[in-house]
Parts: sequence; structure tokens; C-alpha cells
Amino acid sequence: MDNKTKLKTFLQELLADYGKETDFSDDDLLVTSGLLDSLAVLRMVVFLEEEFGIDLAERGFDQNDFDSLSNIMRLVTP
Amino acid sequence: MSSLTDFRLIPPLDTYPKVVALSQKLPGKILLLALFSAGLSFRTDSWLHLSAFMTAMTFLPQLRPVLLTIATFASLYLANWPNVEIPWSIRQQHYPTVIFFKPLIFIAVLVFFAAYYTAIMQNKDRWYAKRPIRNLLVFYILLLIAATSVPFSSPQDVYLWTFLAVLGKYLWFFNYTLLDRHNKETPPLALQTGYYFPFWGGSNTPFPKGAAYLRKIEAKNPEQLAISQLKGIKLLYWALLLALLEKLLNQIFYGNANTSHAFSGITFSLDIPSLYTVLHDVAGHSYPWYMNWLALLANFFTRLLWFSVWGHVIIACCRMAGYNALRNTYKPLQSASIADFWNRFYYYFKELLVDNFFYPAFLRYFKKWPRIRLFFATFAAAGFGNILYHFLRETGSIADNGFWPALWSFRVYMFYGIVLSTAISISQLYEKKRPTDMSWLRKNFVTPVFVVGFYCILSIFDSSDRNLSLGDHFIFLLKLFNIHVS
Repeated sequence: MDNKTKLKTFLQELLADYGKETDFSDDDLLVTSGLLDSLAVLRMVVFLEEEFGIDLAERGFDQNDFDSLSNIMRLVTP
Repeated sequence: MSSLTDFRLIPPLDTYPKVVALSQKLPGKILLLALFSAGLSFRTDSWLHLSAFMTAMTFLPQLRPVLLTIATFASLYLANWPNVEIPWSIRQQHYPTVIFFKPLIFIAVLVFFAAYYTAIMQNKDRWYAKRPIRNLLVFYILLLIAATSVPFSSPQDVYLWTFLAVLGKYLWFFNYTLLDRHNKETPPLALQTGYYFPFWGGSNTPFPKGAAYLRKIEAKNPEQLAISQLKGIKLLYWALLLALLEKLLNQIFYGNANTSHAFSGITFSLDIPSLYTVLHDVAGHSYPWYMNWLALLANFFTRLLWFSVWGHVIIACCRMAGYNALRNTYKPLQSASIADFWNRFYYYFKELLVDNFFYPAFLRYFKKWPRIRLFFATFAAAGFGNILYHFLRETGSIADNGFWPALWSFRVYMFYGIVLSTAISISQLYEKKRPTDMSWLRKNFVTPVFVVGFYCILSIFDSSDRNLSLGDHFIFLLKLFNIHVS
């Protein structure tokens, strides 16, 4: 499974947990639109730390980086 | 059955293609602006100039950021610089007669921050650029301590305290600018001044968040603008309905005791005493236990309504200006948990705490202990950040009483913050374990009643009256259960 598919699957699970529609495009705003909240962002942070070894404390944190699949992909493959 | 559940008191205009299409044409735009202005005139005396700003932003969307900056400065001028508050004890002393005193102090604060921001952006490796938000907060607190400790002569103290009061009001707006400093969506600093206390209103909490966020939610084409404005109209008229309900409840609960809230035509009233009155009834013999409950419940629900209306009108104006922001308060009575209520009740304050305290703490500390990590980060935001935000808002009390006495008088709110953050932390830890197949009764009645009940009881300690001790609040809590402690 490539990184993008892994991330998309994770986000779909997250959306399902929040009782939301799991079909979304790469640029759909998931947090700004209110589909996901700050707790969901935390779960994304933990997922990136565990799955890709990304330390966001060192590289700087911006919630906007977690707003869409394409934004998150930029964190994984800078 | 589905037609009943789909019923909306205010129709979802933004989902009707014909209405959205009409709203993009000249007659539709004029109709929307007229409808909005008419609704707004029921809520504020400033409706005319607010409508003028929104008209300009509707017809010149390409100039929206510039117009927003002009509108913000113009509304500050028209309202005689409400952003510049001078502490009461300072006002009694030598008050400067300089005609431009207020705007000059305001400009001084902006220049101070612009210098700090420029220094950070140009010297990214220097110590002050590493943790700029923490540094700004520490600097502000040290300045407050110095101002209360060092005897300044008049009129220097007037200038200093006014500067501190204004800086305190803009502190969290500046923090958002610092948070957004690496974001590609962030506009130049000069344009960001339009986002500081924007013309649609708000408090020390930025509505809605910072400049980068506003850029992201800004309508990018005529269709998005039409949808944003239709949502604005819906929200404004919903707020007007809630305001009517608030007036009605105030009449029924308090009646003539609060004539400013009297609802025309209705004379019936339960004559419930205010929460202030029953809290100050320390001897505890004036009111029976059930009257204390009624006072607490009436205060909680009328405050909830007032707060919803206040936030809805602000967000409605923001949407009308072309920024499709989320609501500040969203169905709090349907909260599924204590953490959920916190998210639904005051969304932008929660976001402020999350952005400034929660994420930094979560990313830095206790990475190997997931539960402690979440607990600590929640405590940093809902406890420490919440208490700090509210304490720094009280520059008047700090100027009048001194820094340390003001901090000591704040102990009831500290207790409130600690209990709230502990409850939210526990709620978040068990969030995922909540059963998904709950019965209708449990989901729609038992859980919300428990959650709202918790916040209602906790609201005893969320009082702005600093004259009562923690013990006085506990005495009242016990009186609710007919336990009298002398």
C-alpha cells in the first residue's frame, strides 16, 4: 500500500468514526468545513508520528497542514 | 416521519439552486443586502454602517481584504475607539486631553507588534523567534507586574496602563498572526490589521481565528459568495428568533425585576431571583433550595441563549462579508459528551486554546505515554490557557488592585478551570469507548441532560464577581441540596 492510500484509508476511518460521509477528494477541506475537529487532528498527528516517524514539534505545526489529503501528503513527502 | 425530521424553521436557502443563482445577480444581491440590513437593524444601532461595509464587499469582492481593513478602522473610529479601554483607577487621575490620545495609543500598540513581528521574521534563529507566542505572553505578564510594582508618575502611568489594556485586547489576535507566520495564505501584516477586532464584532477572542484561516474560508467566486451570504441571512434570522425566545424566557423567569428584558404583552413571571442574588445570600435563609435551583437553571439557559445570539450575529455578518465561517455555538444541548459541549458552546475560544496551548503541549510532552499526553495537553488548554486568558483580560482589576491581589481574587475561576479541564480530559480519554449503538432515549435525553447538568452546576464557579470566596460558592452548591453550612 503506498503512502497516499494509507493516508486516505486512515482519513476514511476517521470520518466514519465521526459519522460522516467517507467519500472525499484530495483537496476537500476536512477541518475547515467542520467535518473533523481538533481531536481528529490529534489522531492524524499520532498516525504520522507512528507510521512515518514525523516529529511535528521539530518541523513546526500548522493546523492547515491537516486540512486536506493533499496538504497532509506534503508533510509526508516534502 | 422524514418530512417532520427534515422540517426547518428557517429554510435551507443556500441549498436551493435557483435561489443561489438569483443571489449572484444584481437584483438578488440587492435583495439579500436589504434582507440582512433589515434583520440587523433589530440587533444593533450600527446596522447602517455595517450594511454599507457589506454592500461594498459584495460588489467589490476582488478588494475584500482592503475593504475589510478600511471597514475595521472606520468602525473603530465611528464607535470612538472601543478597543481602547482605560482602567477605572487610571481614569480618575490625570487624563490626557490630547484629542488623538486613543488612536495614538492604538497605533503605538500596532507599531510595537509590527516591530516584534519584523524582528522575528528577519532573525529566525534568535531566541525570541523560537517561541514567539510564549515570549509575547511572558513579556506582557512581566510588564503588568512591573506596572503594578514600580510607582510611575502621572501622566506616564496613564500612557503605560492604556497601552497595556490595549495590548491585552489585541494579544490573541497578535498570537494568531504569529501562529500564521509560515502559512502561505497569510496576507501582509498591514492587511492583517483589518482582522484585528474586525468590523463584524467579537471579543478578545478572534472571530473567526486568524488571517490565514479567513483567507481559506473566503468566497472565491460569485457562487461561493452567494452561498456564504445566504447562510449569513439564515443565521441572522435564527439569531433573531432566539433573541425573541430569550426575551420571553427573561420575562417568564425574572419579570419586572429586570424591566429591560420585559416582553411586551406578557405579564406572567415566576419571579426567580438572579444567580447573583442567591449567591450573595450567604446566610442561606432567604430562599428555599428549589428557588436556588431555579435561579441556577434560569441563569444557565438565558446565558446560553444570549451567548448563542451574540455569536450568531457576529458570524452572520462575517458570512455576509464573504467569509463562510463556522458557527460559534452549534446545538450545545445535543452534546454527546463534556468535551463535545466545550466544542459546541464557544467554538472560537476553544480553537484559540487548542491552537495556542493544546497542540504545542501535545507535540512536545509525554510522547511515549498517550493517555498522559492527551490529559496534559487538555489541561494546558482548558485549564492553564483558559485561566490565563481570563486573568489577562482583567487589566482593570490588575491596575486597580495590583497584580498579586488580582491574581488571588481570581482563585474561584482557577478552581473552575481546573475542574473543567479535568472533566474534559477524562471525557476525551473515554471518547472512543462510547458505545455507538445507544438507544434513542440515552442518546437524545440521558446523555445531554448529564452533560448540560454538569456545565450548569459548574457555572456556579464561572462568576465574574471576585468578591465572593471559593467557600461562599461551595456553601451555595450545598444549599442546592438543602444542606446549610454556616
